[in-house]
Amino acid sequence: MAATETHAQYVMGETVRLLDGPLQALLHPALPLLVAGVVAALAPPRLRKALLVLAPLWGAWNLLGFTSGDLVSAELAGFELILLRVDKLAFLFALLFHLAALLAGIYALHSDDRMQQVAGLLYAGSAVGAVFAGDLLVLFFFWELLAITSVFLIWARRETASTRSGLRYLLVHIASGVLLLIGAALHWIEFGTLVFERMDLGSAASWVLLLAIGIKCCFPLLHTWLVDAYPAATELGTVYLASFTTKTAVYALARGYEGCEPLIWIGMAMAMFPIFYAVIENDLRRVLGYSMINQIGFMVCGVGLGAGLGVNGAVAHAFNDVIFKGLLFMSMGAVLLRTGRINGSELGGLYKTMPQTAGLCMVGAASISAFPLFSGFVSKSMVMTEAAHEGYVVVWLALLFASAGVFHHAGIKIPFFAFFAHDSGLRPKEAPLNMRVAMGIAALLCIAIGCFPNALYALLPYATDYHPYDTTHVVQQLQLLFFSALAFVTLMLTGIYPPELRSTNLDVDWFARRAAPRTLRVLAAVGGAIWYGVLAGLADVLKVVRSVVRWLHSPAGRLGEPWPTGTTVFWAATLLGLLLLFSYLGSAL
Amino acid sequence: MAAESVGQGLQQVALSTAFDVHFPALEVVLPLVAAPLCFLFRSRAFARILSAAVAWLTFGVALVLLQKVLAEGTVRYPLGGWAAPYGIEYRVTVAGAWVILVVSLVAALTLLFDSRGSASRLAPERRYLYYSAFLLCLAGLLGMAITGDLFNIFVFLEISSLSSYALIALGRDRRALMASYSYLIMGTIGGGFFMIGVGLLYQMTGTLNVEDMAQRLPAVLDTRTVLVGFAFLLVGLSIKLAVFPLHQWLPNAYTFAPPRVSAFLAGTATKVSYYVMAEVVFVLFGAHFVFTEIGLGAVLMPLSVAAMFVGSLAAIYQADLRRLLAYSSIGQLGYMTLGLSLANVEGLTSGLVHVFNHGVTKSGLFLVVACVGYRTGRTTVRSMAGLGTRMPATSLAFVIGGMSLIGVPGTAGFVSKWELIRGALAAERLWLAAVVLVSSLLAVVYVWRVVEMIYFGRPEGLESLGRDGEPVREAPFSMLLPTLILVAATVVFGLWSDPTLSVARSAAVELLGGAGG
Amino acid sequence: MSLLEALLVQRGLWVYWAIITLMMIGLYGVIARDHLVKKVMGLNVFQSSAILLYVAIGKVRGGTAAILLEGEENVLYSNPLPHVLMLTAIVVGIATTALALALTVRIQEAYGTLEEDELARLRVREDEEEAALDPHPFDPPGEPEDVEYPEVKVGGGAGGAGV
Repeated sequence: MAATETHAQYVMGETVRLLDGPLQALLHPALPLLVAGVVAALAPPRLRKALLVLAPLWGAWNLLGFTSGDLVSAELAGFELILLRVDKLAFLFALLFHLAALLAGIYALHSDDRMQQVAGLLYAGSAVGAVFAGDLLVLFFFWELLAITSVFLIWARRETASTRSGLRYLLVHIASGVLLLIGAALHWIEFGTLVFERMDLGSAASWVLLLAIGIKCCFPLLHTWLVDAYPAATELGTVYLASFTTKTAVYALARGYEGCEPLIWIGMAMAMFPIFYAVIENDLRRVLGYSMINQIGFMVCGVGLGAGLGVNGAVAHAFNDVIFKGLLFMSMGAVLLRTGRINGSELGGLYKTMPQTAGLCMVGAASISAFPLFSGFVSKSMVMTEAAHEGYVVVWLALLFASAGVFHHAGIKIPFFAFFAHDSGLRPKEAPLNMRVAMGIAALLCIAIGCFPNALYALLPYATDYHPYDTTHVVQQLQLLFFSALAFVTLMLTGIYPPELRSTNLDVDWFARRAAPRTLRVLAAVGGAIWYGVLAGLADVLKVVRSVVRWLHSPAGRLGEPWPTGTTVFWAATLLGLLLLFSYLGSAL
Repeated sequence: MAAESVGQGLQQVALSTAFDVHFPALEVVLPLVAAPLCFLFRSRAFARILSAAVAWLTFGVALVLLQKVLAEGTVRYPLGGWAAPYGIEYRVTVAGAWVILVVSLVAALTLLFDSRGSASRLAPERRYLYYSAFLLCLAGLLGMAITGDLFNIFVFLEISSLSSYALIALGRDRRALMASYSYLIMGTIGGGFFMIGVGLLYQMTGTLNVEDMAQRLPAVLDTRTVLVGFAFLLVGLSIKLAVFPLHQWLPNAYTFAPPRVSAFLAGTATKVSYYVMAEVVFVLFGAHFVFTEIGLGAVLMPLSVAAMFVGSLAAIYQADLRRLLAYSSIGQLGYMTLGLSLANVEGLTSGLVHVFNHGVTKSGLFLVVACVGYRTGRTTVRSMAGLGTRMPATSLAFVIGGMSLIGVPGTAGFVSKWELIRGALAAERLWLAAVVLVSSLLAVVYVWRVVEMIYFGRPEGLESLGRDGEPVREAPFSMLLPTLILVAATVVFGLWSDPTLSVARSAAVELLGGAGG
Repeated sequence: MSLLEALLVQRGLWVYWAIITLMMIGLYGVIARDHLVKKVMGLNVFQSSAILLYVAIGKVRGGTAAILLEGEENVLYSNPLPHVLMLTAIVVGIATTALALALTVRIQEAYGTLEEDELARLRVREDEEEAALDPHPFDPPGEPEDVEYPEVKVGGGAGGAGV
């Protein structure tokens, strides 16, 4: 019922600027990107490339015309649909998406692949549409559009493996959309409204919706699609993919589940478990995929911590993550483009011929590891501070451990194995200019936000006077980083570590050095066995269902084969008899 | 009301002459007179042009009638000047006008379709017979929806049925003969049941006029004769409507009929029977009697759900596209009867709007298959392999039509399905809404199968060659145009659902508010 | 009232029993006979029962044919309307029978038999032959053998399509 009131407030409140009139749809912030996507589908290559850069700029310019409280609704089939609802939260995400689209657009300039460029624009547009969706139906529409447009970025690699990955990806996301639709229907039944507002975990609708969002958000056990699909995409497809889908889901969480305690624990689990996978993973883009889940874990945790610093931290971290994770994916994409390889064991020594890419990659690595003066620092610490402040000591420790883990696998492992380590003998060309420009802008943003965080803080949904650069934060983070680095260096030099590194985590250093790898493998094996067991069980059930269905419905089946005329007539007579009996009984009673 | 605004919009195109009083009769008489003309002139070209012209004329008349009904309420036309209840009265209700609009539109577009190298069995010089039968079928279907006299409904039902048996038997494959024969047996028994039902009701009320009978029935509703009459009417119509388990005549009939006939019948025949059933249930007997006293919902609802699943599951396994579409029709008819069995405005609206949405979608898809058959010489799912690049427009048309079958938002299928879910929720049957969603997933499977074949399948060996050994290329414009119009309509009325929904809603309100309710 | 009463006491009702019996004979013929012409005969019997029903409805006991008798009053007429309706129904019946028989002739020409079970066998064979033309008969998705889990390594494949 709370949701209904809020809706009324939106419509009736005095601060609300209702946009109305025939031109309103033209102003919808998602349209510039979507229209550009459609135009690009038909445009010659030059125009298409111009659109890649100009559309996000146009969209951003258009976006700046909106202010919090703007509302556009339309009626469809008796429902009032809120096509557009602007507030600070949505605005920040939309701005972020335009920025990401611009960066990815510049990054994509060297390519002539129409499919990817068109899909990228449409994909960005649907993400913008999703964050402005005021009700669940509109959200559902853009939710599915996100899935459908993004899958082409995976298919664009045009290999069997990526086609199959893409299909799995599509299935998972369509399922998420169907859940969203079911959740919307339940919400309609329970509350009589479709307005997407904060809800309490309790109603059936809220759980189904959480599951739908959770799939896109990579909740533990629902995360496999990400590490399956992202490394399968093309070098620029992954850059697009990394920016939109999961961040839209984080937005949806922040919108709907702010302050729901279970999210804290889910987020903690998400921040923790991918570290182990990332450590033993060889494909560097998959490493980044795991590290992405880990970063989203921080955001989910922040959302769970609730209004104020928690959500602020989550949103700010989402903002930064898109930029520095984008930067890292871009640098790995450049490596993939130039060498055709992406496995850590096959790379190394690239700094000699790709010095600029290496340098930019290290900026990204510093950001994700939350070095002071880099962007990750100013947002990640917000979540951790809030966790400590709220008294979740276990969570705080877990997040601390997770940050150290991030530094290891993303901060050190990625640049180290790609650009340094043992020399692979590869001497590729430096990345194309447009890629370096995109990476350069992203790196500049990382540093700028790290140095002048207040610009970002001003955009956050809640007012904040948070100061990241106080002594405690800086010292604590530096300690963490330096000891982690020290351990890494020491162990590399003394050769205790096998070439494919396991862990250099400070907090659980000893444990990690001796027992962790084996334990992890055993755990992974057991977990995997259970998981596969469940799958196999499901497969058996499916087999039985399928054979029954086939027995009934296939062309030679009981119901599928054409009956002889007599049988059908017999059924007609039987139905008549039944109906007579039924109406006789019905009227007699 | 939005319906009024649509009415006013249509008014501007209306011919406002004194002549339009006769439009209800004209609607039926036009094809009925044109049919023997085709036969008399014995010219294929003449028959073709005449039938297409007549179909478009009936469409125009239907538009005017719909506008008139929306603006002025039920249009009555005493045939031969004999006033009801003594004479036969033509009575155009909103629902009736809606149905004849769909029927005449589908007829007009299928006749526009240029069925070259036709898959019909007739020798070219005798092809005029085909048009004769086609027009008779059209006249019968239109008459069923227009007439207000129960026995007259039976007569028109038989006219349309007999001509459709003949049309189906014209299919080139010899299996068409058995398909037609089974349909004939089933259809005749259905018609016979309907006639017996009408007779029993006449016995109790002494009238054949629907409205007159509706007024007299309540007095004798609790007699056993009326109950038996009701059962006969309902089962008879269920056969024509292919309600599970009386659906088995449908798949083969649609599969082996000539392409245009499949497209026409799939879009119209069952829809008209649906209208007649709605009229019998809601106007003649009234929802209270049917659903509260007899409890028909308890029979019709499970059967509809069964049809949804049986039809969709069987469609998944079909190798032939036309049979796949035919089974899918059984599932879609399940949605319509489900809407009817909910007995509320939303449910009936969904059924009536699906009359249009499904009619347009399914006819469009059958025409797509006709295009594919013309170019590749086969109509199996496999024959669609790789058509995405070689017949892009046709392929896209199939994808869009398929999405409408699934009920993807933005297509016409979504509009009716959404309304149906609303109806299920309004009737407080949550599980039904869930069942509808689950069965839509089955539609995803059978549509995806074809889409996968179109875009990911690779033709092998000789398959890459068309029917005359030539490479497969896009269907000719004269075939493509009506196909694309129908498919475009599913998108247009999926996005712009106000007109269709508002007309269907006022039709539903009118039916539910009928006498005896 | 008991069945016996219904049969004996209410004399007028026997005709309905006869009609129902006739109808059931007709339906039985359609259901049980395999020969297509015999089915048509069953159909005819069924239709006759419906026609008889209407005739019986219109008959008024002691009534005469509905021809106006001049100068006589209080004449009891039978109801002519159902009888007239049956003219139409008979025409429909004849048309149906003619069409059905024409179809059986064509079926005999095409298949050389009129036994439905045999025809069904032939048709199934035709269906299967058609399906056999299809080199990849459909297997529904979700084949357990097809389930592949994250093991898909992208390996060192060539870079994206943009190269």
